[in-house]
This record gives sequence, structure tokens and C-alpha cells, in this order.
Amino acid sequence: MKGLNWRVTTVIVSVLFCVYLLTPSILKFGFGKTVPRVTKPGDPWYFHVLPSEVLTLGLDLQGGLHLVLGIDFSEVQRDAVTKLKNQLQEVAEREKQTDYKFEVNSKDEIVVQYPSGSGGKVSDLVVKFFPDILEFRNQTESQALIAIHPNHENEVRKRAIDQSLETLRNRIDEFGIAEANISPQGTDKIQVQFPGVQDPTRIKDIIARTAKLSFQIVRSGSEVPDGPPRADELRSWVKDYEEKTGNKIDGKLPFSTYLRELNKFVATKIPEGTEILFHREVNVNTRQTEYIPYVLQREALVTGEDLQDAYYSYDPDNNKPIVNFQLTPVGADKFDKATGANVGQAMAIVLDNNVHSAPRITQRIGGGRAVIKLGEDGSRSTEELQNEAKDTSLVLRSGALPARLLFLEERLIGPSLGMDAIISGTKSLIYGLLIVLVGMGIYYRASGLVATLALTLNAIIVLACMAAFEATLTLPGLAGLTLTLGMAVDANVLIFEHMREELRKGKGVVHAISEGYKQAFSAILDGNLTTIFAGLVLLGFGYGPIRGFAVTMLIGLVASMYTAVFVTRVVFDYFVVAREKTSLSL
Amino acid sequence: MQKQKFFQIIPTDTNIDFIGKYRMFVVLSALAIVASITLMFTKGFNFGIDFTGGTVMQVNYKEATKAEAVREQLSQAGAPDASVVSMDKIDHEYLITAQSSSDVVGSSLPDKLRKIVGADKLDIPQVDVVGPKVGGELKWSAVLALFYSILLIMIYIWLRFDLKFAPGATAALMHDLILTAGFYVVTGMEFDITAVAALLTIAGYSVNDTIVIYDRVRTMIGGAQIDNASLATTVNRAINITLSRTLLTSGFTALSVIPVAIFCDGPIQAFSQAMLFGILVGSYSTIYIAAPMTISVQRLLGEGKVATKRA
Repeated sequence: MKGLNWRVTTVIVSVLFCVYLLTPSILKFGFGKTVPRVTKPGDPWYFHVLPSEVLTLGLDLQGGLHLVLGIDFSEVQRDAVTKLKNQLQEVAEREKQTDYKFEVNSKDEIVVQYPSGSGGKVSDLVVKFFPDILEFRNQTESQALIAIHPNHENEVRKRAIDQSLETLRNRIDEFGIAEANISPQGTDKIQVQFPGVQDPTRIKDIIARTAKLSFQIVRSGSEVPDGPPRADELRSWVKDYEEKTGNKIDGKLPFSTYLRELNKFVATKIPEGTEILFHREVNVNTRQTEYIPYVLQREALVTGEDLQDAYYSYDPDNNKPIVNFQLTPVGADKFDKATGANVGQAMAIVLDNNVHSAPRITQRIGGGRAVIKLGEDGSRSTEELQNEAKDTSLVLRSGALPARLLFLEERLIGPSLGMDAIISGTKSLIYGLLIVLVGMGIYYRASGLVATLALTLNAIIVLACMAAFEATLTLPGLAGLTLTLGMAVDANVLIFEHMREELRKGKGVVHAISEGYKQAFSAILDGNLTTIFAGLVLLGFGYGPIRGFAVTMLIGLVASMYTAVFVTRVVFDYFVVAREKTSLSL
Repeated sequence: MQKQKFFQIIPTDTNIDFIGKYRMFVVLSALAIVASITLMFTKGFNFGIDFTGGTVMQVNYKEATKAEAVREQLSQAGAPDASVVSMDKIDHEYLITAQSSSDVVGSSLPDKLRKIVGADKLDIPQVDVVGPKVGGELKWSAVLALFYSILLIMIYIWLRFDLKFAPGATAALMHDLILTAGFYVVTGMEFDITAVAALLTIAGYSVNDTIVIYDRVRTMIGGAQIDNASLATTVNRAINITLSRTLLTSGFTALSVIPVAIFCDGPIQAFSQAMLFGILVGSYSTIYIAAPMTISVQRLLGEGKVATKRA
């Protein structure tokens, strides 16, 4: 037999290699031992030999929390345009064009107003300093509409996703959830998976916080009741806005959208360069949330970008949790100057569009230290406050998100449900194999058993490959595995039917075997390839559970070509052809 | 040498005239397809929240809570239209389904319910919340996935066999997919992302089945030129020869899916039930749709000769 020894060796080596790859997974799930990635001298000998990769169970099998997050691109876009407007303004000032006026309109366009006749200079500036970043929408004698260039817009979006991923990784690292998986999904979504998490509320809260911090001067509010505008005027405008638009502060609309709309509504009433924000407070007696409006100078004295560190501690006066900040040297310097220039004014500490507190600046503040006090309304328990102080300092430390993250999908699977799924999945797999074993044994006798052996090997190879690639085994994945086994059975049935045909013609066993494989091969190849195509399309489809199904099916199909065609042939060649048997149990 | 006897269900000399009676079955299939499509538009799919967006959650109360009380809590949480189904008879476990009204599922129904009832008074072991926007995107990408896989399969058959073979395989494939979709409509089974996986798998199986017979025809013609009458005979002979294989493979695959249909529940169970149906329809369509269609295409093109590529 041509190359029989070589082929037998291939089969044995591949089987042993698969067992080797699967051993760490068996150790983990059977004995609760995990092979470490880096071994220490004191470890048992097999830790040094075995790979550390194990089969990862999907959340549907081990339980956990699965989130798909989107990002509020309108906010990202607006921030980017505002930043560009400032840069454009700086460039214009540097080029001594001080009589230009810049602002951002509601369509996220930069409106530039200039003395008539100097439009050419504006285009020169944009072409020279912002190629591929800004583009002209419209230009008249004295005004130009400039928008963000589509290429740059894509860049901005990509950066926003990257920054969000980075920030989320930092936050979740600090929060201390091991084995969390944070990855991009498509171009505009983020997938976050936490195995084994039971109570999602706190994690979701940490993820949802933008952590945008700023210190802004208060123009009107409860600390500055006479404004302008006066506090009662302010309240009546907010009421007016809610009645006219039907928006409610704690209604369906996202809070940031509510704020944006409100500020558009009152734009002509409040002083230029200011904005309305709210202080949220829970009334101790009624337990109702109250929102107190503030008019703040839009330009911040210092923002979270100047933050060096944030940590929580306890207020020495009343022992309540507080969050401390330390600014960077540059930030501390800015803060020092700004507080010096605004002595006597109230300064609001704003975190994620919420005015936390608005203390009056009594003196110049050096050293760049500040404090947020929590729970002054006394409506929450000490534990809740403590968690909030911890979480707030965590999100501040790990950096701000470029914009609000939106929860698009949330799936939670309890660990006991996952266990049930494993048991029923394994059970059905084993019963499926048993049915095929008995059926094939009756119909094709010893040859049928060879086919079943190949089937079992097929399953082992799939699991071993998945362990080696650290691919995730999910419930749909188990279904995919069952289906590949069906395809493998088909391959063997085709081969055996062709063999029988040859034997019926009175041909010898050796001839029948070689013809059986030869004739069946084209149908097996075509059948598998078309199913592989369907699998590849599924993979490109790119959605969690479907992907799991596609991955197992694709690995399974390739493995089944190997086991059902190559391995069974080696068995026949070794036990029948090489020993020159004249009968075949078929 | 003595001839070996085999254990077999289909005798070797079986020669059923499948092609001769194909018209009756084509009419039958056409009726079934029309019925399926009509039902899709009248009764409609029972789309799962994967596609529509919404919330499905299992809630286990520590103390017995009547369904009316649960409904009251849900309307406090802003979901007065949510469906509440008891999962046991002692008022502890409920399955709650609600349509979602907003793209953002941030402060979702389970969070609100925990707040209203008290996190220590209930346990929510399973939650699925999908925003309607994601659902819409998913529906669209499912349609695309189906379209692309059918296209790829057609191109492959054209390359490996003959362009004349492709319409038959595609017709059989569409037949199987439409009938399986109809199966989902008739049974009222939830049509979710797993259902799309089932459809795609059935597509793979259906084509595999068709290919086995096409492969036989290809081998029997062996690259030679034959006329229409002999093509019909050849196709019929090919079906007969592979009948035993068709029965065995479909049988074993169906059998290996049955335990899943019994032991697993939820989406995987629905998946395997659809698979069972798909396997049966797939075998049928190969014989009565794909094979006759090849001959019809040939007839339409006139008394031409068939020349298949060599395998």
C-alpha cells in the first residue's frame, strides 16, 4: 500500500495532538484546575507541558451579562465641530483677521461672518490649514457655511469608538471583573461580555457614565438668585419649554437631548455664552427627584482633561464619602488663575451634565485640589453613597467617554440556566451519536462502526480546534456540531453505497474500496463546499449567536472531510487492504 | 466469487418512475408555496424580539405574587402592555414580554422592576432586551445573508455542473426555504435569529441533497452529449440509484436531530424542529423539483444536447 505507514502515523499523531489540546479543558471543567499561562517552579509537571488555552463557554452556557453599546454620534459630531470652530478662530486671529465672527449652528455647521469682500481669505485659511477636514457648504458676500468633511467625519467616529473601547477597558479593569470581553462589533458598536455576573445594575451604571467633569462659573441659580436671569424667570422658561415641546426632564428623551433642545429654546433669553444645567436632588420628605436650574458660563475654567487623579475618602466633618480630585500641574495653574479672577463668584462642579455643587469662591485656590460631596440630601444609605463615591472616582480616573453610550442590547443569562443548557446540549449530542452508532452498525455492520468512530473523532477535533483558538462554544455552536455530524454520516453513506455497488458487480474487496472512495468524492466535496459557502456567509453576517454556529459548523465541515474520507480510508486500508482480506463487513 | 448479501431497505433493482409523475407533485408544491406566502402576509410571522425589539425576561418572585400584582408593577415601570405568563402554578415564576418603545434600553425594564419591587424580593435569571433599531438592522442583514448564500450556491453549481442545472437547484432551494418559513408561520413558532440559522442550514442541506443526484447524473452522462429523452431516463435512474443513500442520510440526520428536539428547550428546540421539517422537504424537493426542472429547462431551450462538465 502506497504510503500507508505515513498515513497511519498522521492519523495517530492527529488524534494524540487533539487529546493533548483538550486535556487542559478536561482538567478545568472536570477537576477545576486551570493551567496557568506562565508556570512557576512549584507547579505539577503537567502544567509545564500542557497548553494553557481552554475551551471558552459562551455566556448562554456559563451565564453572564451581554451588552451591545452604541455611541451618541450626534454628540461626538457636535464636540468635533465646536473644537474645529475654535481652531479656525485661533488660526484666523493668528492671521490678524479679528473682525470675523464664528459660531456653530444647529445643523453642526460653522457659520463665519466677515466684512464683505474678504470671503476669499476665509477659503484660503480653510484650504491651507484644514484640507480634508473642513469643506464649504455655501458662501455669500459676507457669510460662509462650513461643514466637517465626510472623510474627517468618519475619522472622528472611528476615534470615538476607539476611545470608548479604551475607556471602557480601563474602567472594567479597575472595577475588577476578570474575563470581561470588550470588543468592537461592526464599525459603530461595542460588545461587552461579563461571564458570571448576576446583578447588572451597577456595572451598567459604570459603563453608562460619560464622566465629563468641568468647573464652570455660575451666572444664575440658587446661589445667585438675582441672576440675570432671576431664578423665578428661569423656572418659568423651563416650564414654558416643557409645555410647548412636550419634553419632560425625566421622560423618554435622553437627558442630553433634553438639555440641548432646552438650550436652543432659551438661547435668546439667557446671556450669550451661557447654558442651562440642572442640579438633581432627592427631596427627603417626598422622595421625589427635584431639578434645580442653573445658568452657567459655557466656557469651563478647567475640565476633566486636566485631571491627574481622583480618589474617594471621607469628609472629616460628617464622615460622609467624598470624591477628591488632583489636577495636573498645568490644570492646577489654570485653576489657580481662574479662581483668582473670580473671587466672590459661585463655581459649579459639573459631572455628566449634573451640577453636583456650586460653592462660592472665597479666595484663590492653589494646588489644584477639589472635592465633590455626595448625598447632602440624606436620602440614601451609607452603603449606596460609598459605592457612588467609589464608582465616581473610578470613572473619573479612567477617563471620560467621548460621548454618551447607548444600550442597544442587553442579555442576561443566569448561571443555573447555563448549566441546564450544558446538560441538555451534551445529552442530545451523546444520544444523537448513539442513535447513529446503532443505526450505522445495523445497516453497515463493522464498516458502520468505523464511520461512527470517525464521527466521534470529528467531534473531538472540533472541540480541540476550538480550545486551541480559544473560540467560544455556545448553544447554537453545539447545534452546528450536531449538523456537521450529519454531513459526515452522509459522506460515509455515499462511500459505502458506492462500495456496495462495486461488490454487487462482483468486483473484489480491494477494488470496491478504492472505487467507493473515488466515486463518492466529487459529491462529498461539492456538498461540503456549498455548505461551507453558507457558513462563510453566516460568519460575515457577524452577529454573536449566529457566528458561534458558523464557526463550529465550518471547523466541523473541514474536520469531517478529514475524518469521514481520510481517516476511514486509512482504517480500511490498514485492516482490510493491507491484510489482503477477501470479505468486507459492510 | 460468491456475491455478498447486504442488509438494505431499498432493493437494488428499484425503478420507480419519479420523473413521469412529477407534474402532480409540482402542482402540489406550487399550492404549498402559494399557501405559505399567503399565510406570511395574512397571519404573519411571530417575530421574536431579536427582530422587533423589546424585552423578554424571566422573573422569579421569592414570595407568591399574583399575575395581577405583577401587571400592576409593570405598568408602574412604564410597560402596561407587557404580557405576563405564569411558568409554574404557584405564582412564583413569570415570563414577561414587552415591546420596546425606545432605541435606548439603558434603564431597562428589569432595572425598573428591581427598583419597584425591591432587588432582594425577586430574582431575574434571564433577560433579553433588544432596541428596535438593532432589530431592524438584524432583519435586513438576515435577508442579505440568505440572498448572498443563494447567489453563491448558484454560481458554484454553474461552475461545477452546468448553467442548466442551476435553476433546478435554486428552485428546490427556494421551495425548501419558503415552505420552512411557512412552517414557522403555521406553527406560530417564534421567528428569531435562530430561525435564520435554521433556514441557512436547511439551505446547505437542501443543496447538498440536490448535488448528490446531480453528481450521479454528471457521472452517468460522463461528459458525453445526450438528447432530451435519454436525459429524462438518466435523471430517473440516478434518483433510483441514490434512493437508498437519500433515505439513509435523511433518516440518520433526522434521527440525530430528534434528541435535540426532545431534550433542549427554547430556541434550540425550535431550531431542531424546523431542521426536521427542512430535511424532509429537502429530500422531497430534490426528487420532485430539482430533477424535473433540469429536464424542463432543457426542453425550453429546444432539442439541444446536454453536455455536462466532467467531475
